[in-house]
Amino acid sequence: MPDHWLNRQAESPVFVAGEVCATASALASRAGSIAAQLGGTARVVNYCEDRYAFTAVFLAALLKGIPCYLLPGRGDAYLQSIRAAVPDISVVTDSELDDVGLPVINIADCETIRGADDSIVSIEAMQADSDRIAAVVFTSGTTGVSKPLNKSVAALLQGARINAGILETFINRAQLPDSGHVRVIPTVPPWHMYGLEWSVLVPCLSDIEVYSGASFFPEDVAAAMGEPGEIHPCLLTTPHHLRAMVAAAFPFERAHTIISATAPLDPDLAAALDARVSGGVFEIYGCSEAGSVAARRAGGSFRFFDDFDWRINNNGEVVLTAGHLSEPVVLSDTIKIEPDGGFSIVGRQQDLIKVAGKRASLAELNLALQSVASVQDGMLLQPGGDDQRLAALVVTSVDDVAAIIEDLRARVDPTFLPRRICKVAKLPRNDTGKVSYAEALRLFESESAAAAVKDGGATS
Amino acid sequence: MEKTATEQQLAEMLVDVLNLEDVTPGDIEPEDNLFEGGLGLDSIDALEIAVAVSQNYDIHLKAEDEETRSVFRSLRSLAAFIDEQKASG
Repeated sequence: MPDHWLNRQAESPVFVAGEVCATASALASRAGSIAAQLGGTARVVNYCEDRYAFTAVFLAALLKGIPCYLLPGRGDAYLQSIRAAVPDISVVTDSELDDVGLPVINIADCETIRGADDSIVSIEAMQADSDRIAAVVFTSGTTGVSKPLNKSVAALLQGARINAGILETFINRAQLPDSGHVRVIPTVPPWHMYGLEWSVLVPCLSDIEVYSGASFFPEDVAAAMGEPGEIHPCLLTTPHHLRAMVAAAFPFERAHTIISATAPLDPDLAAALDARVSGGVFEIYGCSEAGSVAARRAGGSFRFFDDFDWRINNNGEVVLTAGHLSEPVVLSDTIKIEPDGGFSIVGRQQDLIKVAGKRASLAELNLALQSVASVQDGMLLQPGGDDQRLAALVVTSVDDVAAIIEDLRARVDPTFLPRRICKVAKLPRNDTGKVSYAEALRLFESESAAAAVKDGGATS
Repeated sequence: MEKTATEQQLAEMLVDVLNLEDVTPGDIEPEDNLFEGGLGLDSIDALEIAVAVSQNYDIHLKAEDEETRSVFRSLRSLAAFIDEQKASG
């Protein structure tokens, strides 16, 4: 098993974008030259958009022994939160950045060091099983820098080893025709745990290449799949993206494998896609705290990876432990054990919601809404069901709710902004001040229906 | 501000596809920012828009970095891109 980072053949391609490819030695080289620029700072925000650049910065910070902060989103509000909360931190970016009040290191200014061998040696020599913090991840949907998750060098490396092994089982090389090689095509950003684990860390340990060019729009993902026979495409994506790709008539027949995570994948869709690709459709289950912990093939049950032990506690919650986890992790989902010994996910702890696979605490979002000056009382709802956009019930004396959304925009990730705001006289709070979610939903639906009837006459 | 036929169609498409329930097509000014500020759309919406454009116009949006950012900037720029693609396609 690899005991250091970037354990791959020097000339093997790690990142590919169009006709350009970066080998392991090029990546090591670039990381080394960036590391040389990081002497004056105690910690960095990895703000790179390009996946190759992002990985080079990640490795550079590892080399330098300083933690890499990964923000949950892009934008000034996030950078200002970091500036307010974290001392002696610089922003490392691969593109132009307006003045953010923080020191900025643009890696375009870092000259590539010739003599790649030195860089590879220094990465290999780096202590791998260290408790030193390699990454700090924020998962909240609000811009306040709350609940940072510290990821040690050892934890990330072991997680990457586990995932690299799992990826091999998905790819099932024995079944691949001899010609061609595996290309992972991610539609997810590298700064969330899922993208970090599978498209940044796994390629450091595994003999696969990752597409680092544009791979967001279905057209670009299709182009990234390259020529049939030469490339075995492995899509690294989400249910939200898969639904969009289906609607865009994406040529799934050209894909070998599909990996989906961040939210449950509809079983019928999973089965339909599994029949179309040449390999299979696999779902990964995990959480930011523990990383990826279980997987299932379409039509099967989830199984925890071998490294994880699990038990059910007195509250009926699943508690996970593993050698590389610094403490037990309580899962926020409830599971049901299936006849085949695996499990399925049956529900989620009430406070946690997901919109397009992104996770947030409803309690935190509600606090953010209530802190808007013109909002006397308010709460967020998910009328469309899991993974859909949010709506809000609001008690306010202002006529124009757009101003409320503007104010909220500075406090929450745009994914979680309510698409519909329903003004009500008051929220249905009980004597202890609590609101039943079900009652609030009923109120929302009846108010919306009433408003629709009223507008129906007015719209031209 | 007057809308061209394509701009009007697109405004209706946006309201429909993105479930902008508090917004009417008439509310979307052609020169308003779609993303930062303005309608405040996000990357999830960008994907939905790309899919709707491919379904309605058989035009397939790709991310050519700066170019796509400018195509998506406003209703007007998106409509101009679509008209241009239709003319040459």
